[in-house]
Amino acid sequence: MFGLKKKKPARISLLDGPLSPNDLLEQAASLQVNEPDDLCIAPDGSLLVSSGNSILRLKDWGKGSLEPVAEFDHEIIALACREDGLIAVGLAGAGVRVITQQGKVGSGFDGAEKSAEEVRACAFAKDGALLIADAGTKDGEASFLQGLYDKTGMGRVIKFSEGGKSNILADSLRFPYGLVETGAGEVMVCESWAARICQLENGASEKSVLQDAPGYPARIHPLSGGGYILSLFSRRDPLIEFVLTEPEFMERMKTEIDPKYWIAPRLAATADYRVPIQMGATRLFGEIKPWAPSFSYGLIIILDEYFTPLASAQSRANGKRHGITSALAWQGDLIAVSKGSNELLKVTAMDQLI
Amino acid sequence: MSLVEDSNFLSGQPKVQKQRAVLSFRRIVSDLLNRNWIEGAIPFITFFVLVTVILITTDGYFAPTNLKTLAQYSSDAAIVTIAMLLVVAIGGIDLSVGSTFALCAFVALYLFHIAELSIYLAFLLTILCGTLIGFVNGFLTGILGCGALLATLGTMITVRGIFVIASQAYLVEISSSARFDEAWEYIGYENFMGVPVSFWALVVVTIAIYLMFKYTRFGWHILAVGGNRKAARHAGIDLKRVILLSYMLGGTLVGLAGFLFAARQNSAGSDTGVGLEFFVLTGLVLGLGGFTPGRGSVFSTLLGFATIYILGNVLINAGFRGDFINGAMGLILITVLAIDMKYRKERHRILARAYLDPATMKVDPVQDMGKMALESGKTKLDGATLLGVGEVDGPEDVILDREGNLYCGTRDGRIMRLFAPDYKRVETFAKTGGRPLGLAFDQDENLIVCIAGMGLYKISGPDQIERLTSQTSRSWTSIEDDRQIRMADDLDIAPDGRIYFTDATKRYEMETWGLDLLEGRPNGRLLCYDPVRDTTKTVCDNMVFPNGVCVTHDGRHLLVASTWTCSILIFNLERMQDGPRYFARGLPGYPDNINRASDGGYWIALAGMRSPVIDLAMEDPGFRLRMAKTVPPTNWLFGNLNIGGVLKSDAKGKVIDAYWDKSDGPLYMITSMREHHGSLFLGGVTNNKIGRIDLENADKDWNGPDSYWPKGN
Repeated sequence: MFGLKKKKPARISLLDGPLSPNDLLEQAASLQVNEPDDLCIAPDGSLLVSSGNSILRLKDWGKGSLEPVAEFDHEIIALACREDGLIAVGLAGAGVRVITQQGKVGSGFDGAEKSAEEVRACAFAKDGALLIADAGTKDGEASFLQGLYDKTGMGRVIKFSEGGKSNILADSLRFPYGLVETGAGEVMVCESWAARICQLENGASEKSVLQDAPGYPARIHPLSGGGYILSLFSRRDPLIEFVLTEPEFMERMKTEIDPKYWIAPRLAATADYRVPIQMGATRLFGEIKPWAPSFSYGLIIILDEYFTPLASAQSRANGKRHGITSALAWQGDLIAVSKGSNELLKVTAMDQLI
Repeated sequence: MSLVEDSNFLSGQPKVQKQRAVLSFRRIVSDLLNRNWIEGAIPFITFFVLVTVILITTDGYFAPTNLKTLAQYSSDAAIVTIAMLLVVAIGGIDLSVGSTFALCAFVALYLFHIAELSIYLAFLLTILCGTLIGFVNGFLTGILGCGALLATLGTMITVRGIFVIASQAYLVEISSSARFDEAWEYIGYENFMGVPVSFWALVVVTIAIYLMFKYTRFGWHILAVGGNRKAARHAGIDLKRVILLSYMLGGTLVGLAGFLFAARQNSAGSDTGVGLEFFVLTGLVLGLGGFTPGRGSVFSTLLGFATIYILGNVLINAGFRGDFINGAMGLILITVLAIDMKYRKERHRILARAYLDPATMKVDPVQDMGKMALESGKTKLDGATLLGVGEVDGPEDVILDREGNLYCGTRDGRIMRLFAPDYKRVETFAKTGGRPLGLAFDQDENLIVCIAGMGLYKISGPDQIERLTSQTSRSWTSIEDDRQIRMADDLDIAPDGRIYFTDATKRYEMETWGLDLLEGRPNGRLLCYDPVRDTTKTVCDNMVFPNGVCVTHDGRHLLVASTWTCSILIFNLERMQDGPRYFARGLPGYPDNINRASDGGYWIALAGMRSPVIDLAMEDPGFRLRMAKTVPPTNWLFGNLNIGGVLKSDAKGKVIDAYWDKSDGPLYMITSMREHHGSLFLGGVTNNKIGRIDLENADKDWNGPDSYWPKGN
């Protein structure tokens, strides 16, 4: 009231308890992949990884190499696979394509292709319908960070039935980055800039099942025995939350400074001198301490069926495997992509984690 | 081309706008809160307010006759207040002062009127009586370790009982005594130099106790014991003895007060001294601004007592009942204690919040570095030889002597020496006890060193260390006493032997200097030490983090790096009062030390790099202030001290070369560099190694000491 009320920075959950820091991501085995983004598992049990404009397939970890499956004329920014082999592909600035496992175009989802701008997540419902999360931004990476500071939700979640019928499950979402259908058939969406996972109920009301997340939630994949694997592309930071309460500074930063050098979360650890640092991140004897504050981080959280954290895999401030945008369980192992290090990671066996 | 040849050069450089002393409400408040005398101001203000109110409401209260009466009647209670202060200062309390006072008054009357002793003997025995009761209290609390509150409550009741029994037996006899003695009358009623004798007694006691607390070992011991009993014991103070003695001294003073009372009243009643302890305690608490052991402020205490006494007196004059007055006293006691408790709890928090005081600072835009820029990817420091790895912790400055031995300071306060030619042998040259930063050799090859937290020191040989100066003159505009040199940073020596050195910030320490960046105010100064006269003076005050200092090749000018403004300033040594001009500005990073190069130019160490966001934040003091309040320090936005380098400037301040390491290289932050026979040695304040690179086009015969002090001169 009267502008006197002080706006407090948002809460951030601590990395504590099951989220206590570890360096599992740093110890993980890896495969180099150019510009990886999303993962999914094909019905034949092979792993599909997006890499720039193409989809790569891995049959077995350690046996054979990544072989191309399909290529597109835009960067792939979402991937999902149906039990019958149909693959949904989100393309930067070009909506969504649905192809068969043989790479052929054509399916019952023709209407979906041009209905969205930037599909950051796809998932298939149990009834075979296609769910897409449209971030709503038009120019890809450049506006990625704008979404954090604009605070207006432009994202939507749309459901396409095979007949071509579509309906919008939710709109005004702040960067929907992950989608999953629960065992009970409810649709959950990861709203990155709001740092939460929320449930969509019949298009209108929504309720958070996970809030004040320690990082920005990206893709979420179900676990076969119940529960979920959530990847978070960076850690949330008190300085960023503070800047969010400073409209004048925010505005000047947005208009005067290249987004590359903003106070903002990042996908990769960078040593560029123009990128701001925080006081605790100052090197001593040449080393960055693992507990130093950082604008990029590697974080995967295993959730139970009620979205309560059970375990985590991390890459800390002094690590390189940051920007985890997708993680799932494959052949009993936790598999993840790190955009920060351009790698496909085999983190650890799932049964060792939980 | 040297500066001498081109005399027009300097006058062509823009003058630095003179920075005035900082006047900021926030700073005044925080500096005031920081002062120790601020607590003493509270009783003074209360007293002042009371006097003003009385002056307005009552006519003639402060007339000489009334003042004289007040002085006569209040002196004995005032002495009891000082006795109470002695006991409270040691961390105890004495509830028996009222009873002791009464008993001593009776003893004086008995000895004078019934025993008919000489007045001097009566005086001594009365005081002895008080001392004896003090001894009992001291024995109970100090030796046996009983709680002071209950022990003195016990003596209070016991002594009161003795007094009642004795006075009932003798009071009639005393009042009917006809003994007359001039001295007795003189003490009770007469004036000396227009002031009652008992008031003179108070003056003497006050001065004596003041001097005792200020200058004597015993007084210090009392304060030490009251301040921190455990620490006092660890320091070797005999607690029991000090406690016993202070109770005894307190008793002695109460005895004196009792004697004065007896001489004045010539009688004692059953109500003598009743409630005196509470009256005295209220005055004490008001005077000290709380119940604080370990403080011996005699004058504040007396001021508090005077306030209470006059207030009570005025209320009685106004016709209020005694019970009401007692209630009012109690209320004052409770209020002062509550305020004090709250204030003391919050004080450090208020201080911490108010201390950081950011200001707008517009840093010049980064000059175009062209192909020398860090982002161009040329890494001339890559592949440097690393010296003393893991053996030197934080070599802020490095220097070489004529023989080529390398010296540097470390974080744990040592000066290390690395021996030429391969620098594998490392030994501790001297231990300073502070944080050695800037280094320079004088004409006699003594190592002069700036030690943060200590000042300017001279090291004439292994472990032969001697202080040159640790204070400068005080500036008049500062509330904070800024004589002490807080963060001596770097120095250089002019040909006439004068040592110019910087005190980078007057407001922060070695551990917190980063806050000075967030503040962005001209908190530093350039000082000059004259070894001939052994004097230190402030040459230029109000500079923004003055850091590296370098006397130019011609010996007539002085370069000073102003770290947060990313610029290098130049002074004319003959005309220091003209203030500085810009030598170089708009540097891409934060300049630290500056040193001579063999080609007539200068090396400039960059301790860190600017980022667009921090430059923007420097223009927005509100943003930085709110950040400091809401964000944990580890998350504060900061200059990028993870990447630095070395710039080379020509004799006129134009940057002509740049040396960077790889982004993950070992020489990430560079705070100093020295050229020596074709090599460049690099130190960093957060590093644990010294780098060495070979320079391509350098004069292989050039070294620093010869450049400053040519041989055969």
